[in-house]
Amino acid sequence: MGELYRVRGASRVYRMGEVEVEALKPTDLDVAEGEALVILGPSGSGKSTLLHLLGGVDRPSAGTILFRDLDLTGLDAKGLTLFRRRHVGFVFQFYNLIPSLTALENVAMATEVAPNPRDPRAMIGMVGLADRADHFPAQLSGGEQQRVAIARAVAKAPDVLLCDEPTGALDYRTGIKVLEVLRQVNRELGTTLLLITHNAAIADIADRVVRMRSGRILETRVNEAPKAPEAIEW
Amino acid sequence: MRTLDRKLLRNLGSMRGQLFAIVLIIACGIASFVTVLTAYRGLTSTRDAYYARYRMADLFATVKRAPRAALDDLARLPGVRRAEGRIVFDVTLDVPDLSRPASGRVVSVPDRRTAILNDLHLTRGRWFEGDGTGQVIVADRFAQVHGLEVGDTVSVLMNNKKEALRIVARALSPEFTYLIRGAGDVLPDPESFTVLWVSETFAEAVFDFDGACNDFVATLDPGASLEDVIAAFDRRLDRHGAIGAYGRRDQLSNRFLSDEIKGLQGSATMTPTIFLAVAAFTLHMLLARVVATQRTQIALFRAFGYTTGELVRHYLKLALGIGILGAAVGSGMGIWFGRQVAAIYGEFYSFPILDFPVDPVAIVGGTLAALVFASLGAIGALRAVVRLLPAEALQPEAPKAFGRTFLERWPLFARLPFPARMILRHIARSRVRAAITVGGVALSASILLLAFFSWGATEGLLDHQFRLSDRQDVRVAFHEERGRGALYELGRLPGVRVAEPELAVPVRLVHGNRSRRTGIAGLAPGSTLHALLDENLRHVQPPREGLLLSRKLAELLDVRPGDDVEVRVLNGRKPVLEVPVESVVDEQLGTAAYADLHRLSRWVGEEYALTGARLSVTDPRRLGEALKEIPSVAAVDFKGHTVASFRETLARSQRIFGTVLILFAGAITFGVVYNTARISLAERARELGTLSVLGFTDTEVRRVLEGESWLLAALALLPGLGLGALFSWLLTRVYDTELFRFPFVLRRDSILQTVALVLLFTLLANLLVRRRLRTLDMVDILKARE
Repeated sequence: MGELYRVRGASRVYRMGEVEVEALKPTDLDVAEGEALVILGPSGSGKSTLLHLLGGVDRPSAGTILFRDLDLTGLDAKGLTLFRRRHVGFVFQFYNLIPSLTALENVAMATEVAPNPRDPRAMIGMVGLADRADHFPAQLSGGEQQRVAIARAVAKAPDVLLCDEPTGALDYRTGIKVLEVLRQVNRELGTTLLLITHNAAIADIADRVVRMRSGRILETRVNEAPKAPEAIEW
Repeated sequence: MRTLDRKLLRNLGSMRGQLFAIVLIIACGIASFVTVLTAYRGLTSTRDAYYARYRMADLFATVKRAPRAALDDLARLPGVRRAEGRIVFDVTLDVPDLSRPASGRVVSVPDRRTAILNDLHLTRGRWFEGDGTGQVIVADRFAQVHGLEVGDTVSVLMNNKKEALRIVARALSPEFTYLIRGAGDVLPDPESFTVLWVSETFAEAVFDFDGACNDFVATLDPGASLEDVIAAFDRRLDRHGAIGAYGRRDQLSNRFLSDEIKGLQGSATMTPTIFLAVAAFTLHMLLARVVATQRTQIALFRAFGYTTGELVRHYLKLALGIGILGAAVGSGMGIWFGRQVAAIYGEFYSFPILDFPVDPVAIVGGTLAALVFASLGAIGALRAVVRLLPAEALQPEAPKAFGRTFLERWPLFARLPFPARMILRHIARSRVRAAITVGGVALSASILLLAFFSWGATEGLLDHQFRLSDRQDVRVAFHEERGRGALYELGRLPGVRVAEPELAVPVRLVHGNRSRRTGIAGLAPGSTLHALLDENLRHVQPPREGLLLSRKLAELLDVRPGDDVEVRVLNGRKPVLEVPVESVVDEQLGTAAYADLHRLSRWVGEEYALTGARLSVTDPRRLGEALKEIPSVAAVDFKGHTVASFRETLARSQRIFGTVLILFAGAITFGVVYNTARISLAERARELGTLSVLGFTDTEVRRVLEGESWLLAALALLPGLGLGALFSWLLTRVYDTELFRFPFVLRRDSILQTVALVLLFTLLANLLVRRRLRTLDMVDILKARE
């Protein structure tokens, strides 16, 4: 398997009023194509910052981030937009569905800007919501909304799925279901999965786990035998 | 409440763009209110003071010639306070810088200065020396235009003699506040017309009027009946060739001034109400949003023990603060604009002093109106505050509930692109706000259309009257009735191609219990220089046996073609006849009636008579110089000059009023669209941020937000244009006066300009919102929860 990301010495300093906060200290990280990687850490550990840098939502203050041969640090705002559009699927903690579009439309919308999209209806079917395709977000439960969000992220056939605490706002049972869908996407479609969470139990489903604290990576460990989502508990 | 007040100030600070827009709309409303009310009150009080101080007459009567002794008789009539006699003649002047004769009205005044009726206000120079022979006081405006100073001379053709008169003073008179020659003229033309005040002794000598006069003015006792005095005057003066006395109401200068004041009275309430209503709705929209976002804060304050009353007062203060700010800015604008309006009026009306001082009544009234409308705008938000349950409000706001709307039933809807669907559903969900936006933009469009219409209407009037109807180049009026020979004489003048006779006869037309004093114009069969047109601009057959009436006159008398009217001829042997009305013609100026020239001649006891002529000419300049030498000519009117002067006089005022209307309409469109877009942006920040994170380009994201503004603006255009057409039509009704009226013709240009400006203002508002959109922080949006 080739390398999808190569991060070298990437750091991010935020200016909060008069103080500077180093949210991410200089960090190295490699992500392989097709792997399922969980970044584990408490709040303030820098995991979200790292995810934003990888997703092209934010830019590092120093260091480089290579996506395959593409240097993300050299892209302007428009270049980053195109990068997100072609390569990245996002899943957010609070789903961020467009409230004025139905479930199916939310998925279809994302496919409109992608070069080789998947069939929106099939994606809705894959996350088990074929019968709710015409519902608006306000008519769906949290777990259903998150599954629509995953369908939306996957429908554009991204190279990488970036998930920011995808189960953070869900109850246990619903959370497991969402994780199953994510793992299924990773296994069946071969989409690289990058998931950040503060929940250590979730790390068990990953091929590899990166633990972070205070803006730096503490350790990286390979899961020899990743567990199926239904087998984990928290 | 000090903490709440601090919060209030911070709230105001963070919404300053939107507040500015609302303040601007309120300010426009108050400015128009203060301006119009100031102008109305200022003009009324200036007129009243001027009339009182310079003893403007209540009654006017013209005769052929009466001995001065008749005056004693008139002065003793019951109800008459004071009566004066004078000599009045129309003359022509030769002014060196004019290649045509100017018209003058000689009015005699006492040799020595005394307090007379219609007294003069001398702006320069002094009263006559000695018996005033060879001396003249000229209208200030005329002297100004021609650069005439005290000591200069003007050459006046009086009673067949050319007299060089020395100017001893320049003056104003309440009788000529609106300095026009006669009915049919609409705008003052100080280049072509002046009053020439001469001493009685001089006038008697020049006009052979020893011990006689031909014009009477009088003031009445308070409470006296004008009708009774007019009747008494007419009885006493009948044998002196009276053509009927009339009251101040029908005096031409006063008529114009009073109509203007009446018009101001009408518009003092309408325009401001429109603006303030839009402001109230916009404020409602903004405050509803503020209360929605601050519901947690409100609940918190409630939980801490603040009473509902305190919180209501808090938000009311915000609304009233906006109202006061708008009133302050608007009053300032109104005071400034009032000065400009005074300057414009100063060009049309000659007053000794015309200044619109700061009017406390207008400002207090405006401020109260602003506060009332601001409070109305706050009612919705205040109700929400009162109804808020603290426990519920501490929960985050429920997610935006989108459900199926009526839109889904529309088969094409599913085929629309996503941004369009998002926009439509968003509009369908916030219908009140959408309606306010559409309403505001529509009103602004209607104001714009009205402004462009009124510009076009002037052109329409000019076109109809001076191109289609009046086909002559020059019109000449004689001092008195002349025979056929006068026409041949005119026809032989240099540069004259065609000369057609005109006979003007003063009459009173009576139909049922309605009656009107007017003139009948006699037209020769086959005349070509005066086209009579119906409302569809088709030619109307010239009169044969009966009369043609202008539409306005027919309305006033309530007659239709086929009806008979009673014609009371006011000069000559004064016959009274029953004459059928043959048809009605459409004219923009005056209330004329037409008859066949020969028939009309016989009514005044002549075989063939004319009092003037219409000329088609090849060389106006040479004709003009020649006319200066003809003693029988009382007045000359060069159409080209009249049209140019008309345009020039109106251009400045139209420019100012037009600019202001456009700015006002801009304030509304901008204010409403900006507020809607900002609220929409605030509500949808997360949605738009999500689109951006998902890889939608800035342009694509912008389209979703701005599409809403554009769609609403576009939706507003049609009703706006319709409303504007209605306002324009109402304007033609308001200005459908006996003096002039405007045709109701909406030009395509006006409509296109209106649409273009509405879209321009929408674009400006969007550009400002775009700046906000750029500062959206994607990272914040990913983390934030509604």
